[in-house]
Formats: sequence, C-alpha cells, structure tokens
Amino acid sequence: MGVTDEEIYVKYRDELIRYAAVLVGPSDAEDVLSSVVMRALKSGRSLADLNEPRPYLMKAVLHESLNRKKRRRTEDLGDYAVEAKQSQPEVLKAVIDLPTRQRAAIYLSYWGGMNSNEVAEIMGCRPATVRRYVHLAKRKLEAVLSDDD
Amino acid sequence: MTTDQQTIEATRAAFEDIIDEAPLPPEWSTVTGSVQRLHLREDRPRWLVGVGAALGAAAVVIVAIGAVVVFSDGSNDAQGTPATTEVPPTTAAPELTSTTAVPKGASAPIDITDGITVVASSELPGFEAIHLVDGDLDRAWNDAGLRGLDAEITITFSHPVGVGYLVVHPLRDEERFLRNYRVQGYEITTDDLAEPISGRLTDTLDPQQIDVASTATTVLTLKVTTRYPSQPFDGGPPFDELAIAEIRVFGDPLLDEPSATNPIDTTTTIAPPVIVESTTSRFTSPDLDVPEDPFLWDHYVANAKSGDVPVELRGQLFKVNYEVMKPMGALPLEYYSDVYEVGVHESATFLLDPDSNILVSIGWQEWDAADAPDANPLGFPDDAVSEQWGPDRVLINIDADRGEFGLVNESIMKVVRFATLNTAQGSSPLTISEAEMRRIAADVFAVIES
Repeated sequence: MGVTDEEIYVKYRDELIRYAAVLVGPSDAEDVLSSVVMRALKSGRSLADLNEPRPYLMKAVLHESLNRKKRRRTEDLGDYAVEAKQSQPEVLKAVIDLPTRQRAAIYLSYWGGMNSNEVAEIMGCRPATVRRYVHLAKRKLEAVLSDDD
Repeated sequence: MTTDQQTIEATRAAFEDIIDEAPLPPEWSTVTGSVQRLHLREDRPRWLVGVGAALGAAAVVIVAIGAVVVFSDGSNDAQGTPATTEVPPTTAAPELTSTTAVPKGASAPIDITDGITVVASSELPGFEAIHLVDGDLDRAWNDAGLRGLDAEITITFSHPVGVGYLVVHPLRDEERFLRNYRVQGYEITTDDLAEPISGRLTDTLDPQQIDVASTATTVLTLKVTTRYPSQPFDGGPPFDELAIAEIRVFGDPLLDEPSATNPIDTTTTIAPPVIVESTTSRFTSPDLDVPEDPFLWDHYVANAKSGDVPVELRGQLFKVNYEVMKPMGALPLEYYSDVYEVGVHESATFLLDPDSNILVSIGWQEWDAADAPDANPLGFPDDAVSEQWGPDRVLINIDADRGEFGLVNESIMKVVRFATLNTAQGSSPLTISEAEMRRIAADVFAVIES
C-alpha cells in the first residue's frame, strides 16, 4: 500500500513550519503551510504522486512566502518581529531584514547544514545563485557583527 | 574581525529564536477542511466569469483574424501536395476552454494564456510558435522539419502564476493531423517544481489535458520526448514536421486571493496579470529609467543563463562572465531582449572559469555604507562599489536598490567593456590600483548618468 498524502504531510510538516516561520515570521507560518497544502490539493494533485515531495513542498513554501511578502509589502505592513532570547538583537534583526531568498539560503545553509547543491534543489535555482545569496547575506551579517566588536 | 564561524553561530542563534516561536503545524484535518471550503467557494460564478471572459476574448481574436485563415503550410506545399482544407469564416470560434473541451469540474482554474510569451526550439516559416497561443485552432506551430526531435516549447509568464494544467490541441483536420508528426511523450519542467512532469498523449484529434499543479511558475517548458510518426493520407505523402495547433494554460493568476472576511466579488471579472509599477530606477539613463517591480526580482534571478562576452584589452582577448535574464515579470518584456546581469563571484572557493580573468557584477543593490563600512573600502557612492578580486581578477559591482540583483542592458554592457578596457594596463592584465578603480567607477557612472 502506498504512502498517503496525510502521511507525507505529517512526515515533513515540522520542517515546513520552521522554514515558513523563518521566511514569513512565526505568526504567519501556519497560514503559509496551509496555503501550500491547499494549493496542491485543490489542483487535484496528490502529494503521493511526487517522486520527491520534500523539495517540492519546501519550494512551495518559499514561493508562497514570496507571494505573501509581495502582497504584504504592497500593503506596507513590513517585516515580522521576534524576541531575541539566545541571539544578539542586532543580528536577529539583520537576519529578519534580509531579502526572503537570502534568508532562505542562509537558513538552509547555516541551520540546515546543506551545501549549495542541496540548497539549490530546495530553492529551485542554481548552486551559483545560492552561493550568491549566502554571500550577500553573510556580508550584511558580518557588517552587523563587526559593528558589535 | 569577525570570522566565518562567528557569523554562522550568531546567525544560527537568530534562527533558533525565530524557530522557538514557530507554531505547531496545523493538523491534516484542518488543512483538508480548508480545501473543502475553498472548493465550495470556487463553485461561485468567478470561474464562469473568467471562462466567459476567455471565451469572449478568444471569439474577438478569431473574429479579428476573420476569413483569411487558410492552411498554407510552406513546407507541405514544397512537397508538392495541395494545401489542405480552407476554413469557412463562419466556423470562426473553436473550442478553446477546458471547460468545454476537457471537462475539469466546477473548480476548474481560469484560462491564463493571454499575455504569455512562447518560444519554440525551431519553427517553420508561417507556422511560428506564436500560433500556439493565438487563440486560433486553425493556425498551428510546426517545427522546422525535424520530425519533433528535441522539440521544446517554452512558455513565459509576465509574473508568477499557478499553473493548474495545460490543454494541448492537435491539428483538428484529420488529413493534416495524420500527415504531420504528433506529440506522444512529453516532459514538462517549470521553475518552481522540483520534479519534471512526464507523460504520454493519446494519438487523437481531441484536445488533451496535462496536469501541472505548480504554485508560482514564471517559465514552463514542454519537451517532446517521443512522437507519433506522420503517415500518408489519401495519396498525400507524410510531412517531416511535428505540429500542435494550440496550447492553452489554465490556472491561478495569483492575483489577490479572497479571504474569509473579503469574499470574492462575483460581479467582478478577472483582470489580466499586471506588472506592478512600484519603483523607478535610480539610474537616470533612459535605458534603465523604467518601472520595475522589485518584489518579482527573485523570480527571474533564478532563471538566468550564464555565458561570456569577449572583451579585447590592448590587443588581448578576455572573457567577461555574464548572465542573461529570461523574460520575467519585473520589467515590461521589451526591456528583456538584451538584458544582462553580469555574474558575481564571491570567494576563491567558487568554481571560477579558469579562462576568465575579468569578473564583473552589475546589479541594482542597495549599498548602505553606513551599515557596512567595511564592505566599501574604496568609498564609492552608495550605489556603486568596486573591489579588486584577487591578484589577477577584478570585480566591479554597480549596485543599487534593495539588496536584490538587478539588470543591465546592452548599453550598460558597453559601459562594462569601457570600464574593463580601462583596467588593462601593460602586459600584466588587471592588476590595478585603488586610485584607478576609483577612476573607473567615476567613468562608469559618468556614462550611466550621461
């Protein structure tokens, strides 16, 4: 018997909600994840039909986040805020202020421990583009950290 | 001095704080319940209005094309066979919506074909790729007599859309249908789906549906992997062309979605995709002073293809790496035909082209000297920075706007060539002084602003 859509969802949902939280903020993460699954299901497509559901879902989360950000920016609502507990507030703010794709790239690289090829698969772009995202993000973060020194 | 490890650890701590506040993921039943509610909502006349508008638009197109629709396949004529059936003007409006041709149910997505651009791997004169999306089933695309080998059709949307499915219309005249090659196996890739979608069409005169179910597609490619062979018909010989009459794209244009508190206005027709004009370039060059939507930049950045341009420096030929952007949604399409983004290279660990010793980056990226003084050691203006790249490499960034990557067009490539030409001094190429880099930047901006 094959894997069901629900089993696939349950398998990846924790990872997906964390990724969504990083991209759009904790308060909107649930909406993003729900929207991704809704879009997949309303199109009549089964998650179980996918050979590689994880990169598909991760990419869908990124695109949904970008679309959401686009709409929000249009409404001038700004970025999200998170309380700094373990991190330096300036670094946390710098991370949140990164463009979404740069934040995704650096999250998957630094937090997820993926190399640029793996991140590229998740993000749907070329490894060189991932390296560029990471570079630009790192440059901004290093600048913040240097200011703290 | 901040080390890489310090940066990584500080960043990880920031992510830990964000993730700590992440909610629990919703239960499956909650999500699927939302889907059921959505389906109920989509039963409203929105789709009917959209489909009606598509039908209306198709009818207008067909009427405008009028009675001049005649099958006159140049290659087919060249083979000494008569042109096939003429279509009487009264048969103007073919069936172009999946709701009639390929039933999809009450929640069928709308036709989002209008406004897309389509390019084919080859085309026969008179049977260009544009006929794939012209709303006319009697005007077809033919490949250039290649029997469908390596045939590819690339569809580009003006902004990201959710593609539900395609409807592929074969030639509807039986003789033409049989005498041309037809699509059998296909593979579809998009820039937002990780996996290609492959399948097989039936050898039938009927239109057929290919499910895609993407979420934010800007480029979709349909590759023909196998073909049904052409065959003689009623004494006429087979042709060498693969033919498709029409491809219609159905899906979600990803305009603002209705919410529970702001339900769909059933009296409103579906607007075509629009390009948001939210900013204007800081550059004053007429070539670059165009409206752009920075929120869509991400979508084309991932779709560049790279290459190089030769630059002659004092009689010696060098290569400049670059990336050509595919048509996307950030700018009106006419600005994309010769738009470049020149490649950026960050560290020696990157896979640099060993034959390339001029690496140029031009983009629009905010350069906030106040926030990142160390990154601008040469003190260029806020929207420009150049830095020496290794002992024999030079990296020139011309950056402005919002921390995303940007665009240059051919006129700016001339500036790049101008700048790189000025970096070549003597036989040891591209080892330049800080003062010279300052001069180059000044020259570049003088040209850009002129």
